[in-house]
Amino acid sequence: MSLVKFSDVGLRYSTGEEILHDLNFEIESGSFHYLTGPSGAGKTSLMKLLYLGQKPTRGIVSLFGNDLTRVKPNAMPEIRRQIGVVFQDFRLLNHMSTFDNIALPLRVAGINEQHIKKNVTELLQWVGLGDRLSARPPTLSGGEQQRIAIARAVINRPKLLLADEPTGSVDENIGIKLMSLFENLNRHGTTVIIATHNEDLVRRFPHPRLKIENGMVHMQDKKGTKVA
Amino acid sequence: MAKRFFAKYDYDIAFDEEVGTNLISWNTGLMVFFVTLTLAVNLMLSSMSKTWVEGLSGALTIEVRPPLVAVDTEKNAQAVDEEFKNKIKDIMSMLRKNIDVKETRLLADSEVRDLIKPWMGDNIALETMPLPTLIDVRINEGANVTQLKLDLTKIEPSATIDSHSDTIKDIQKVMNTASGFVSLLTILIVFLATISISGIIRSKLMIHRDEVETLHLIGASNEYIARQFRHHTLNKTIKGAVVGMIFTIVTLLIIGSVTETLNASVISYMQVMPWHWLLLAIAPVVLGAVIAHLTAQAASLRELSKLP
Repeated sequence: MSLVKFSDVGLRYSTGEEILHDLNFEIESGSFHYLTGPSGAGKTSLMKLLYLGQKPTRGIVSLFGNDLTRVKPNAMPEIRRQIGVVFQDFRLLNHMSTFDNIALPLRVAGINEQHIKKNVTELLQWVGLGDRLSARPPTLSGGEQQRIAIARAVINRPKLLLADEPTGSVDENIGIKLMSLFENLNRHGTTVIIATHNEDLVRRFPHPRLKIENGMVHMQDKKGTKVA
Repeated sequence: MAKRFFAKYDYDIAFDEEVGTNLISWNTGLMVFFVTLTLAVNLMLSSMSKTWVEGLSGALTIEVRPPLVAVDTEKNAQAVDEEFKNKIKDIMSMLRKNIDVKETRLLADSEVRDLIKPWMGDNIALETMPLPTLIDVRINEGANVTQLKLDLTKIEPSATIDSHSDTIKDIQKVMNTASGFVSLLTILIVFLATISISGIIRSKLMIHRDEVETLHLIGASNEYIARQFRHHTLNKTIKGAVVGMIFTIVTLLIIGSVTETLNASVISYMQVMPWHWLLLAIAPVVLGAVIAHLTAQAASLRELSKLP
C-alpha cells in the first residue's frame, strides 16, 4: 500500500522557475528510503512537500490515502500528527525543557499528562538523555539536541518519519547510533525517509534512494541502480 | 477558578522572552483609563441633566406684571396698588384651592431683584423700577396647566405662566449633544485599541513565526495556537485594565476633591452615585477583556489560516 504518492507534482517559489517538476513516485508503507542529490537540488523543498510545510504549485500529493487537495483545513493537523519530522535545524523550542519539547506533539494532540510523563520519560532514557529532562536546548550539545529532535519526532509513533540531514551536525559515532535508531523504528513499522548527501552513510546502511536530479526524482535500489 | 486562571500558564510560545511583552497591558491600561473617564463624564452629564430637569419639571412660574396706568394722585396710586395686591391674594387663594397644586411661594421683591440684576447691570436703580410679582408653583404630575391658566387669566388677564418647557428642551438638547460626543469619543478609543491589539497580535505572530510554524508542523490545530495567543492577551489585558481602572478612579477622586475645593456650582451637580462607581470599576475592565479576547482570537486565526 502506498503511504506517499506524488502525481505530476511541481513546485516553484514565487514567480521563479519550477525547482521541482513532474514528480511521480510512490513510497510503500514500512519502507526505508534515502532522499539524495547534490546541494541545492531541492531535497529540503521535497521534504517540505512531504511534511506539509509547503503546498505544491501543481499536481496531487497523497498521504496515507488522502488526496491533500481535497482534505479540509481542519483535518490537516490530524494528518500532520501522523508524520514525525526531524528538521535540519532541529526547531526545538529554546524556552522549554527537554521534557516539554519531547512532550509537545502529545500535548497538541490532547493526550493526558500521566500518559505523557510515562512515555516521554521512557523515550528520554531510550535516547540516552534520561538525566537531562529539565535542561533547555541551548545548554545541550548539537548531538544531544539532535536526539531530542528525533525523540520529539517519534514520541507519538508516527506512520511516516522524515529526517532532513539528521547526521549533519554530529560526529560519525553518533551518526551511526542515530541510523541504528532509525532502522530500529523502521523495523517497528515506521516508514522512514532520510534526506542526506552523506554517501558514506548511504553505503554503510544501504536502502533504496529517491535521487533528485534536475528537479526530478528518480527511484534507485539499494545499490544505486535506477529502477524507475 | 480564579486561582486556576491566574496560575502560571505554560505557553508553548516564548511570549515572556520577547521585547515589548507588556505592550498589550499598556495599551489596555490606557484604553481603560480613557474609556472609564469618558464613561464617568457621561454618567455625570446624565446625572446633571436629570437633576436640572427634575428641578424644572413640575414647577411653574407665574408672572403678574404691575399695572402700568397713569395715576394722578397719591390716593389713586394707593387704590391701584391695593387692587394689585388683592389680585395677588386672589391668585394665591385660587392656587391653594387647586388640587393640582402642591406648593406655592410668593417671591419676595429682593429675590426678584436678584434674578433681574444680572440682566440689567449695576447702573440701574432697581428699587425704582416696577417689579413683576413672581409665584413659584409646584404642581402634581399630569396637572391640568391649561385649566390653571384659564383660572389665572380670569383673575388677571395679563398674568403669564412659564412651564420651563423650552429651558428643559434646551438643557436636554445640550446634554444629549455632549453625551453623544463623549460616546463617540468612547467608540473611537475602543476602535483604536482594537486596531492596536490586532496589530500587536500580528507582530507577535511574526516575532514567534518559527515557534508557531513548528507547532503547526507537529500537528497543532490553529485553535490550539490561537488559544495561546488569546490566553496570553487576556492575561496581559486584565493586568493592564485593572491598573488603568485604579488610575482612573484615583483621577476621578482627585478631580472630585479639587472641584469641591473650588466650590464650582456646575460641578456640584455632577454627582457620581454608588452604582456609578461599580459600573465604572467593572464595565471598562470587562469591555477591555472581551475586546482583547475576541481581537486576539480573530487576528491570530486570520494569520494562522495563511499557513500551508
